[in-house]
Amino acid sequence: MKNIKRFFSLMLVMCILITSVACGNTTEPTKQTGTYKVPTLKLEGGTDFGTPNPYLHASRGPGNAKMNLVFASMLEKNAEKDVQWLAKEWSFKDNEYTFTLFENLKFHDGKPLTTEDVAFSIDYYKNYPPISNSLGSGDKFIVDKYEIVDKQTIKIYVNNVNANTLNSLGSFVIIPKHIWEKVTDPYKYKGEDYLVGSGAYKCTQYDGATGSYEFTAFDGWVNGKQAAERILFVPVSDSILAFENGEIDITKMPPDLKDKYMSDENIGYIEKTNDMGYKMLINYEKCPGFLDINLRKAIYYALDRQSVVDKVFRKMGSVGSAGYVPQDTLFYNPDVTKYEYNPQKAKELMKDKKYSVTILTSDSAKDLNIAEIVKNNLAEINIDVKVVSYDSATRDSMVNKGEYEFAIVGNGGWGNNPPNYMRTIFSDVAKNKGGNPHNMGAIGYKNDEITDLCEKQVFETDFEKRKQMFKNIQKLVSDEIPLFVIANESSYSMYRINYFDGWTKTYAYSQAEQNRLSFMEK
Amino acid sequence: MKYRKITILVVCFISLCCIFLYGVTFYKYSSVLPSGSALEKPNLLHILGTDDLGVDIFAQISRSFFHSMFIGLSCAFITFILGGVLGISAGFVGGKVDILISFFINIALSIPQLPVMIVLGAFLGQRTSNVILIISAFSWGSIAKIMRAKTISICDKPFIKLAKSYGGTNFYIIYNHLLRQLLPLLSVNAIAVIGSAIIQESSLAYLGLSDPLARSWGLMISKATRFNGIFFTEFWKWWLMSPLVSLVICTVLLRLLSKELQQILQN
Amino acid sequence: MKGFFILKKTILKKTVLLLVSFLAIYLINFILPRCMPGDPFDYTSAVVGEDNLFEMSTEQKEYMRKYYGMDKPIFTQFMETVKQNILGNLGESIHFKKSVAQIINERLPWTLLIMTSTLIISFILGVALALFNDENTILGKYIYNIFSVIIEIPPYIIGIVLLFTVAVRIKFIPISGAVTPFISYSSTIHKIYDIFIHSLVPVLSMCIVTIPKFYFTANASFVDIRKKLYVYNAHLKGIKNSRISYKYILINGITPVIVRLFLSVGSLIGATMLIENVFAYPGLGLIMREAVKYRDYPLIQGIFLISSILVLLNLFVADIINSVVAKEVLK
Repeated sequence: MKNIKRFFSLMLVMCILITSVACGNTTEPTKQTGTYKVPTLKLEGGTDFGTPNPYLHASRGPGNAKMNLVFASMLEKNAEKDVQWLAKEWSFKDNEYTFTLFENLKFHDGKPLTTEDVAFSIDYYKNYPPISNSLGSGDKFIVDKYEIVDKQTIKIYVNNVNANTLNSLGSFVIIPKHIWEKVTDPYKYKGEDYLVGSGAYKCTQYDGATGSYEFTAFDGWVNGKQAAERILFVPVSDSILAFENGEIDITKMPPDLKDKYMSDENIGYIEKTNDMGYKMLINYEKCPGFLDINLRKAIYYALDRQSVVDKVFRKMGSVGSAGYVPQDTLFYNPDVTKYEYNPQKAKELMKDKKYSVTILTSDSAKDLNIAEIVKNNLAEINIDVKVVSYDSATRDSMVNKGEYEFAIVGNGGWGNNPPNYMRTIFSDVAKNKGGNPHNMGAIGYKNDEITDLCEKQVFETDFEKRKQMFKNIQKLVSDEIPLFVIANESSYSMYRINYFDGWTKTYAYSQAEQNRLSFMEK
Repeated sequence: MKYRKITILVVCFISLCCIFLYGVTFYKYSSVLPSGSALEKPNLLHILGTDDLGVDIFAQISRSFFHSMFIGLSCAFITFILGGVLGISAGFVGGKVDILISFFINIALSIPQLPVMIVLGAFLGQRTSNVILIISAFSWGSIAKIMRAKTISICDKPFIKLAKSYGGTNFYIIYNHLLRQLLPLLSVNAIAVIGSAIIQESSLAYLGLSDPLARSWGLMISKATRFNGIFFTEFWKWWLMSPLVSLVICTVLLRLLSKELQQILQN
Repeated sequence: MKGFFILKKTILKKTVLLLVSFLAIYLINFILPRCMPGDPFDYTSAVVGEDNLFEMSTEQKEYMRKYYGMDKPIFTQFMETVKQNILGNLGESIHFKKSVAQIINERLPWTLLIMTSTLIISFILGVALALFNDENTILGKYIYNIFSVIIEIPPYIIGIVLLFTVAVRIKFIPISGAVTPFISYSSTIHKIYDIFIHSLVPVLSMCIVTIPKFYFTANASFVDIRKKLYVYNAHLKGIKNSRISYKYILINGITPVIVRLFLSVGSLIGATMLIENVFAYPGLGLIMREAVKYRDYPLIQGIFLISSILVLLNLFVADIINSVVAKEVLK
């Protein structure tokens, strides 16, 4: 009896579940205005990245990217520079930043979007920081005040100008005042209008359990035309199989099938050059012996980093630059000191010293393989290595707290903007704030020269001068070796050229799948 | 004739041990370092092929066998001690001790295993020793329950009462009467733990919660199934199937063996 | 009357035990996740292949910790949680930004679908096989031997084998998920078919292992009954075999199998969670792994609580049935 009842109640619950699709937004169906380049673009889904609104998306890149489709910011980036998004013009002088919006901007519910909403968003974010927060919070809130000139123009005054200010002001998303002014707990707000956004696409379906999303082109969008009528994030079991069957339109190319796909002329690909990087950190407070520069050089010479590229990355990548910024990127300095694999030289530098250390890694297969190679290499110069490995969350908190002797940390985004990360890793003033293992520098190590340069570049607004400063930082880093760069991994996203080839990267982020401009007609 | 089945099982198991022993001793490839190109088909050099890093699969499987057996035996040992001591003392002493121990047995048996294992695995960190602890924590309950019941039933027997009335010390009674009858039952139950511990370790490894540095069948299975494009290639035929088949053969043999022992004990 | 009194007493005792066990598990459930290293706001590392432009400033983390009440001392947090749980509120998931109740509502039906279908199918087939299979024939012996091997294989292994050998090869069998994404169903039958075909292989992998379990339990019980005098008498009276099977053996021997049904819920939850990971089936098992990965305390607690309650209740029912049967025997 119990089972029968349970079965029926289960059936009932299931029916309710299936009929009530979670995306509560029921604006009228899209009018068919003109044809789009492609009817649908299908991407790999399957993971729940939360509801695409500024307060409810998961704190991960893909969650943020989905929110950015539905909600628009004032500026966007293409492969070279900042471009118009909601704002058609912008200018800045001292701490005054002026933005002029496009005319006739609309929210998804048809209500007009004006500077009133921009101002409201700033105020609202000050009170309730969104998940992806470019404006800072608390005492670090960057906006001092604003002045609404007219419906399209707003002047924003910031507290401290630096090279990143325009980026910060350009990238917060605009939320509709008429909806959110009544909301006092945005982290829980689930009203039916919680997905009314300002972006080029509307979220028309979202099911967390299966990780499927549907975005439909918003016909009130003013700045350009969307490339697809619908964007679908489809749960797939095996991405390659799904790509072959046409279930998805873009996917990562596995290294072992690279030759097969590269030679196929129907397949196009986007390269993310050296975007993933692995470095090795030393906690000098626990291993003060390695403050001796010769030992650090010895380690560099002892590491067969090419074998990491060959074996672990399956040749998709390159040996890391000792200056940190990877090869083939805009800020890379080719004149940094290089450390070729040379065990003989390493042994000479070690001068018969013996050490034993533990290396902390995450439990991912790549981290472990790299650790294995490092372990074998260091054994040759009498450094006895014990590898310990934890799941990522534990590893992160251990790295943040400095609970390690040596640690291997891998992360994406090295191909992004070096100004975003060089300072937080190498400046003694800015580093080790415990925010994120990627941004942890060497603990117990100080270098005034590097710190000085890192701090100065922030206020340098001339691009070429700033670039030169970064080259100097790299040279210094490669000579002083606060940490070891092991290798960078490249990856490829492949797509069918004859279906859709509008995939692009931004200058600061190389994920074409997460870039709004990929979904716009060029 | 009575022992025919068990003889066959033991012979099978010993030959399995020998094959894997060859894999870790005289077999020329390392189970850690790459020794060929990636994903080689089974051939004369690499008899079961290689994995995505070019590490020989037979070498890995052999080492996994001993890793699994180590885990299985350790768990069996811990449950033998823990389940035996707690179960017998609950049954023998009775009273408040019994209530307390029974309560813990009940909790250990009614907590849903896998969710706790997942949490514990992530919490304690992925050491082999922790995996052993976690698995043991869930294996002792049922054994203690059996031992408690058996102890009570033996204590009710007249000869124990008689021994007590003659002034036999507790130690004398436990040592001479109880253990003699309980030990075989306890051992057989502990042996049954070996097989299930290996399965549980592989489940944890499949979820990525076992020691990532050790070689383990579950870990190999999980790596192979997560390989991008595995359905699209034929790599799975050797990379996935080898650890899978080894795991199945090994656990089935062990479990059948312990069942056979149980049956012999009952007759 | 006396039997009834004893029964009432045992049920009371069992109920107390149920409540106390529940409290103990509840406490473990609260403390365990909080002892784990790392917290939901610290974990921002990009996993391999998952690029991450995401990062929270220290101030923002403080703000969020405060918002979720994680800055308070652990005892205050515990009292808060108890209060909320009594009011029926399971809290808010920190990673998914939804209420835990909503997430469980989304996921639990799928887990239950797999579990109940497995239980029902295995129960019926296991009992039927035990009822009609004669172990003295060659076929019967084969079934017995094959079953005693299969029963030792963990379901997730069978799931992987079926995934690679059956699901991938046969076009109309999907290899993951619970429904076809973005489908608009033409009819209810279409919908049921879609759900059925998605759950086919996961349920099958579980059934392969659970059918033998029920078979063995039922078989042991039926063998006892078959030896009883009244069955022998019935045979002598010339009652038809099928009638004997149904009227005498099934009715009298089914209780241990039903008890087994309730007892197996505990191990089945674990098996289902693993199977869900094999087939990316969107049940509790899949989300549990993510919850642990992101250190989403409220969600871990919620899932844990639900599965504990499920297991405890089923154990309780099994206990009660056993006590009732014992009472019958007393009379």
